[in-house]
Amino acid sequence: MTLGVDVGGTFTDLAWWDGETLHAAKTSSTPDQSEGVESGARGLLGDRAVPLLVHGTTVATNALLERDGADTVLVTNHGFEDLIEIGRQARPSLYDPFADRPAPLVDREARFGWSSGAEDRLVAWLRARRPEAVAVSFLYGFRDTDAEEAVVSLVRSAFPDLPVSPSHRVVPEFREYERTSTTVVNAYLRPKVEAYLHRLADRVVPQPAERLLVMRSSGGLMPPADAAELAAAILLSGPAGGVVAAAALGETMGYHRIVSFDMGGTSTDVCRVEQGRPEVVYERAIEGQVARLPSVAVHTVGAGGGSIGWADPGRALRVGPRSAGAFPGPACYGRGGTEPAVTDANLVLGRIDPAGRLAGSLPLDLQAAGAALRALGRELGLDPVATALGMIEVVEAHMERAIRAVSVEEGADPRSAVLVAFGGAGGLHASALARRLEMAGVVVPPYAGVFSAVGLLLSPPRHDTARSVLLAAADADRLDPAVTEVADDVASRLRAQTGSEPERVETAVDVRYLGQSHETTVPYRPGEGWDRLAVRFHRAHAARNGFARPDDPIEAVTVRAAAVGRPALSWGDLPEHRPVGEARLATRQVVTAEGPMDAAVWWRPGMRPGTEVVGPCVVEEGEATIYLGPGERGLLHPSGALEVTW
Amino acid sequence: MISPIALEVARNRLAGIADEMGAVLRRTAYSPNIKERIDCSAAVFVPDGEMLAQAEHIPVHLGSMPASVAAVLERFDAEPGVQYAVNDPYAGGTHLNDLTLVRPVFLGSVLVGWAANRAHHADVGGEAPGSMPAHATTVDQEGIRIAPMPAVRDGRWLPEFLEPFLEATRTPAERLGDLSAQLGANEVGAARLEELARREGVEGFHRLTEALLSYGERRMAAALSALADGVFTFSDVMEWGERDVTIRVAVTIEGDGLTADFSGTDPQVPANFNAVEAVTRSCLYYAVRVATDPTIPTNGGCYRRIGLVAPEGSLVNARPPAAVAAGNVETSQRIADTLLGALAQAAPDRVPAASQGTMNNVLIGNDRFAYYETVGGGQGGRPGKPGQSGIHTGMTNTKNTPIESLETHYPFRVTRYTIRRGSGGAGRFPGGDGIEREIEFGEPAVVSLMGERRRHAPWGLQGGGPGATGEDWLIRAGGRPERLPGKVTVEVGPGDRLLVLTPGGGGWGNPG
Repeated sequence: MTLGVDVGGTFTDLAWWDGETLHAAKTSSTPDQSEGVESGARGLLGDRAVPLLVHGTTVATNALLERDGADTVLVTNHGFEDLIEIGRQARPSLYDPFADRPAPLVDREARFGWSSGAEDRLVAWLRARRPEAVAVSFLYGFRDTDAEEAVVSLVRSAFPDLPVSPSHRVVPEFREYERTSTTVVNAYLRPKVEAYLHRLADRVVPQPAERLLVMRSSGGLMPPADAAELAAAILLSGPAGGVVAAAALGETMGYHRIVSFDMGGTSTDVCRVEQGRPEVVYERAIEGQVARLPSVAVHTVGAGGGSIGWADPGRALRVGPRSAGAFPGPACYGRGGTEPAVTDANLVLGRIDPAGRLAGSLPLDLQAAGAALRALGRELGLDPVATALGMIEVVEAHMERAIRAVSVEEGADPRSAVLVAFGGAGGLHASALARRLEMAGVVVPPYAGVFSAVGLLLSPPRHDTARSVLLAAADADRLDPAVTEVADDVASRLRAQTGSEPERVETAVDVRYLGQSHETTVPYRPGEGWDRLAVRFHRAHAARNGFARPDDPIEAVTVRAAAVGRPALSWGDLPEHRPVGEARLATRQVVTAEGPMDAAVWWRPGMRPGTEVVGPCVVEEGEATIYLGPGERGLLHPSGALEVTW
Repeated sequence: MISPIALEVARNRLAGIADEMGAVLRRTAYSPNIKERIDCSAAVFVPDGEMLAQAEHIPVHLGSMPASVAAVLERFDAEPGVQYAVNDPYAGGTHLNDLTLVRPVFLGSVLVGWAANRAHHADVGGEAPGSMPAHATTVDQEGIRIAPMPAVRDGRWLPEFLEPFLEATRTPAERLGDLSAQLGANEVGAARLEELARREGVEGFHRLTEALLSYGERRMAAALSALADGVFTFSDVMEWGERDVTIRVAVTIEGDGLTADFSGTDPQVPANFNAVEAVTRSCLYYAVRVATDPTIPTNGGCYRRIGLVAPEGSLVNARPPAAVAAGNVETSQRIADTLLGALAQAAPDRVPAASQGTMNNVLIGNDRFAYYETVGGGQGGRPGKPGQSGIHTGMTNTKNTPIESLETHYPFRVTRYTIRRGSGGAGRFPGGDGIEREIEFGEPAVVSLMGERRRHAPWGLQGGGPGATGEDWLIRAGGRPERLPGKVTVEVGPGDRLLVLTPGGGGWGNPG
């Protein structure tokens, strides 16, 4: 029995698994996210205690976005205090001189240049400054941990309550800028995340150590104490749940290569999944701050249902990046929005039910949507319907580019993959998009409105760690001890968390040709030996990069380990879809790419597994709508997922 | 008539093709120069050589890619399955390191377009590792020179191209790795372009691409119309020992068109910082985008409104056999400064004061290693906000190398890396500060510096003060610091230190 709660910008999604049935609910998010979690949990469980809460939160991301983290200082080497400001010395936009490189989270006055004998000076400086958090990052800190530890002890003894994040514990990997930035981000977020988890525990789970797990960016769950200490590891806590759920569903249905496609109001997240494992990246910039910690490889496009259509000075129809947001929202929300959003286009074309209500309550204003599209159409010499079709074609062209990008960057071909589409707008655009990309098919999962929360229930407990070792062939005998050490570390942490052995411990090594500036991560187990590692690296390099140099010397840069436990729930545990109510609702006219046609309107909760629907048609449910164009067919899978082919 | 929808969809698709080519190039390349510093570009063109879309990472490639395609067009009847290579600065190239591979794209027997990509090759022979010998006066001292020639047929390298090229370079294995990436990137671009043309049909594809070019032209025309009409002049200098070499420009804006005339610029010099016309053209396109609307898509249509007059034999349109290696990396910065100085008069609210105006090239090597880096500096103060510190500006944007990485692989240490406080020019919106970078050598090596703004400071605007000039110091082990000239080659030994102080940006507005 587990409650999954995913907090988003507008809604808090809940999925309650009582051991037999999955119950879904949605509530409005609150400024203090723990309030929304509490009211949502009460709505589902009444006064019953929450046995286990698995939680995806945007607390860390929002603190970065709003620059609302702790007052943080950085202790680093004297003569290198500005390294965090210089970064990689590149500017963010080639041609816009007004585009600013994001400022570091520690300004000049908040950086202390350490040299030997500076103990008293540092303590006095901290006493005068009274920061809320300290980051310590020295050159080679990933390897020479003593120097950082000495500063940690010094600070601890002088200021026992001040949280200190040393780089060798946050991310013991080489490349000083990335390590320092990650450490600063962590220090900056730690007090915020810790305070939030305390509030959440007070409201919802009185024994957090046993009853609360927090989603980490890599797609696994960690205990709250770890999440507080390694706060930078939960920056992608939100999007990770949906990707895990898509991966699990894909495996259940026998699709081993998928692209998850989560289209919301302002943005769309795209991620590749192979063999049930989401693609993971080891570094990303969030709000311009570099964090080098593993995360699901979500690629975000700034386009969604709320993206606004406009005419540019060259008379092209553009969509986004500006969004109508939640307020005033698309014109059809009737709250004063006058510019047409993608949602307005879907409404005018009849793909969204004009008589329906958004999020259960909001009546839609078809006239306002039509007026907004008419105004834009006039600028471009198009009628409102052509304008609406055009906006949809354009926004799908943006998505097409994003899916190609996540595939091509990794050397993969989207044609062999299935698109798993969710989020409020995912099902409206998935089949057209997948056809354009010549993908193998589309799956629109059940529980589409709370899919990320379901993903939390499906997520395993997980610990990740990594350490840079920089070993050449001559040091090959040091590889196995290093890999064993990180593997033992994550396994014992997981054991302490769950009380049982990990389901699996994955170990890997980042390898490169000597002189290369980038690494390729390849699986490796202690005992396999350097030669096996080399062969595997050459092969992986050839697959990903198109060539290998079997005769060139290699270097083992970083060793990695992840211990993965057993999730609270697997798809197989979920009951089959049981129809409730009528399946076929009505017929209404929709405008397809080929013109107006009569379309059947289906109600997914009422459909029987095995039911086939033929496009043009619309399949509705509580929070999401699926649109199938002419020539497309949908088949309801026993899980309740709709499989679309053409 | 192409609809506003088809236009935007096609723009996305073509930009997507260029992006994919760039992604394949970076992903499959071998050298850090392409993988990490991203010194490469990819683009697609219509049959007559106008550019449709470009994935750009380095501004200096902006206007010079079409020159490579044009050079191939002039000399060859395009053949299916053939890719052409060019690096000759006097026949479609910029400097010898930049090798461009050009591939025609056919639908059946009809030429429907071109795919091309360019990569900076770390060494192409010549009289110094890295192929930028500071002492060179002719291009042949700088490395192998390849006029456009067939290099690939049906996916295989032709020996008449490959063998001399690999013979010339000091790093043939790395070169072959990067060349393979270039070949593959063009194949991907060609396949995608062909697919698009097939879907639209030859006629339809032609109409679509012509509409896209007209769209670019309209965007640029709209942006230029917003600028004040007039003739705006400016001049700036390159430092050549104690002498100055002057670049002069008159920018004429008339309605929705613009012409830059460099008449009056000093003649080319017997040194290595001559710029070929393609480099000057890149600087012009760069400056116009900065001063107008950075969101205008990169396509040949927008260039229809922009004219260039660059006198033959001048510093900005060098003729053979002048050496050109630093024309691409240093003179390009000054040409851009000069143009921006003129454009600031037409677009005072868009153009910052002068940024550092150099790339501070540092080359370190001996017979067992070669290392190259560029160092950021101050950005000029901007109308409305100060300039940024310690950042790359102008015609480059390459990243630095992590200290923990370079110290692991090379026999020297970085002993100081900070912002150079107080080096930005005074102003209502002050210039950004430069960088202080000190390196201590662990074994005998030869150091070459190629820097500018060592005597003439980056200028301020609207009453703002100049940024600090750059300085280079050598501190011999146990000795006193000695000042070095901005362009020099010196021998160093263990314990010696090199300190580079990069220029600050000029200030914007009266400091009052």
